[in-house]
Amino acid sequence: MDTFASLLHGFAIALTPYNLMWASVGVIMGTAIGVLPGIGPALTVALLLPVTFQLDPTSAFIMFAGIYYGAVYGGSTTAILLNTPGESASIVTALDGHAMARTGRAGAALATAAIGSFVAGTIGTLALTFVAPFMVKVALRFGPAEYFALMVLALVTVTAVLGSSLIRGLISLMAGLMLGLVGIDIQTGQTRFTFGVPELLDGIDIVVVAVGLFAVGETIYVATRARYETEELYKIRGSLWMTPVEWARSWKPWLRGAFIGFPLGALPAGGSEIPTFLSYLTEKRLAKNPEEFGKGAIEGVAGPEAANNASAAGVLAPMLALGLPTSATAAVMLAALQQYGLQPGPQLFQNNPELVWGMIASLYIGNVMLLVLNLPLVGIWVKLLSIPRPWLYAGILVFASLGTYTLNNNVVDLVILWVIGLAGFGMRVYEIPVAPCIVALILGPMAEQHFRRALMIAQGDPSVFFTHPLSAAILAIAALLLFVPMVLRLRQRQKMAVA
Amino acid sequence: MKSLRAYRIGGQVIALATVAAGIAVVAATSQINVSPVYAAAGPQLFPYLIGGATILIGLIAMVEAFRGTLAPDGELELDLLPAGIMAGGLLLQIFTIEPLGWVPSTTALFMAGAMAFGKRNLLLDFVVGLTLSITTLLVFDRWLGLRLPFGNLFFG
Repeated sequence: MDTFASLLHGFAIALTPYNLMWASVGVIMGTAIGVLPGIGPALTVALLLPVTFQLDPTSAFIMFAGIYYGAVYGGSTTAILLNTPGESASIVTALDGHAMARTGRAGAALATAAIGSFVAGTIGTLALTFVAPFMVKVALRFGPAEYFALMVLALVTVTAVLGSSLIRGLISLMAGLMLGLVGIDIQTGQTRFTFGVPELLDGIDIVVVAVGLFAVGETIYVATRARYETEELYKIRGSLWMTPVEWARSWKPWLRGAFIGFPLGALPAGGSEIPTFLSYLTEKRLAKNPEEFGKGAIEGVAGPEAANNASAAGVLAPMLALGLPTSATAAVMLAALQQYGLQPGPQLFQNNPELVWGMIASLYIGNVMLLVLNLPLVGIWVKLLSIPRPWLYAGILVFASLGTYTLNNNVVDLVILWVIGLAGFGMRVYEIPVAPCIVALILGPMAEQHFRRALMIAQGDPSVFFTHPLSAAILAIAALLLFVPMVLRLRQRQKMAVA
Repeated sequence: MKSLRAYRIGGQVIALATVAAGIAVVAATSQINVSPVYAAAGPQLFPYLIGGATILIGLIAMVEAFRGTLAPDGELELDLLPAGIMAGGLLLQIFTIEPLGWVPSTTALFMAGAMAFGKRNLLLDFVVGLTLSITTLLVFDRWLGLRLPFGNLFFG
């Protein structure tokens, strides 16, 4: 079969000592930074980007694979031990995981997270292996109109499906879209919104925005809250292994989590909150003792962790196959790949298969490495978390400025970082979500290109988006996702006003 | 410490800023020269759409801000001094990174970051910061080949 042959070829590339070394560097650095509180996978990938600049694209992709999975895993360690989830997907893990840590069973929580991540990661990567080429086949029939519709859908789902309020998501979305306008318009060569600053000709780098919003914004926020929130770090007491009972209670949630996680991650459903929450609710419904949930039920860690890792694999499917990022992390990775002059999508599968398959093969390898390396290394991660908070966050600022400055070696990026960092702080205070901004920053310009190309092919006829059945269908779904919740909420408000 | 009222004002500022940004985008777009060939789907189309949508969303946000629903729920206590210290540290780095180089500017940044959390042991912070900046210089500049600035004043 074509897919197997490609995958084997990918393994041949990934299993060279050189690439294996980079894969392990990626896994270790990804976990180390993912473990740091407040730093999620998107920021981890963004911060570690400069490290990959020296590598050729294949090895860089492979290192990304390691960083990605490592960061996802690191976040769960923090959630269990420190109760400060590094990203929204770990919130659910923190619920029962931290409860387990408080009762002295941190080791079991970490173990079930690690093994569950491995199982789900393998299943997810397997699914990716088959789903991605299938998506490519479908995408080959897509024209610019369909791509545009798909991007609108992705933007709508990232904005409307998560978060507390639609208006906050929309503010974030608009901010990202506006930032994306800065730079040279590809189709006409016209400069837009550069205000005479030559460094802005290339546009605003997504890495700077990601680092500013996530790292700087978060760090400032934590500093302003430092007086009011103390940390509780739970040392690992007891063994790192699970009892047979715990194994028995974990394996089904692992599988269920994986099968919930991958499809939801692959759909433009905006990342990993939904799969993890869904998995938690599912496990609670199916458990023999649902009252235990919230107090340290191991199923509440096993399921969501598996769902998290499987959805991480799922997110890669549209990203690699269509060039469509459905989460902030995917957006940063897409930007990283674009910096190599590579555009993920069907063309990449056809023209540079060794890149894509090398990366997918590395996902399997990274997965194994995570299991092998992380359980013994857990002691080191705990030491990392014990670094006094002031130094930890000061160090984060240092790495943020390092990553930002070395992108283009100019100070303007640091200025942008500063402005966006302050904006990020404000967003954190007002609970304005960050993901829509990041995804819009990269999808906005892409969507615009497809829109204009579609119009040009249709010779200026805007109905082309609705006469193409696929495009019309996708746009209809997007509209539903946007307007139905609004209508429902309005109805609720009316009902409450009457009652 | 912030009062609930301060948050409401902040929310109104955000909404106002959104509207203002939308207006700015529309205004700046009208300045872009377009050759008539691309009139239908030129470089102005999306900026106008985005600017217009932003104005609309900003107006809706203003409604919510005045209703008070845009502010964070409950009492969120924030100590703003640390934010100022950190912002100051970052600014300092912006101004000193090229004249003075990576090590001094980053050490200062590190110290500002630590100070923002209330630690007062400046000497220890200095030592740790210096070590970190030198280590990152060696690892990233020497070993990994990224170019970190050495300081125009000294080596320029």
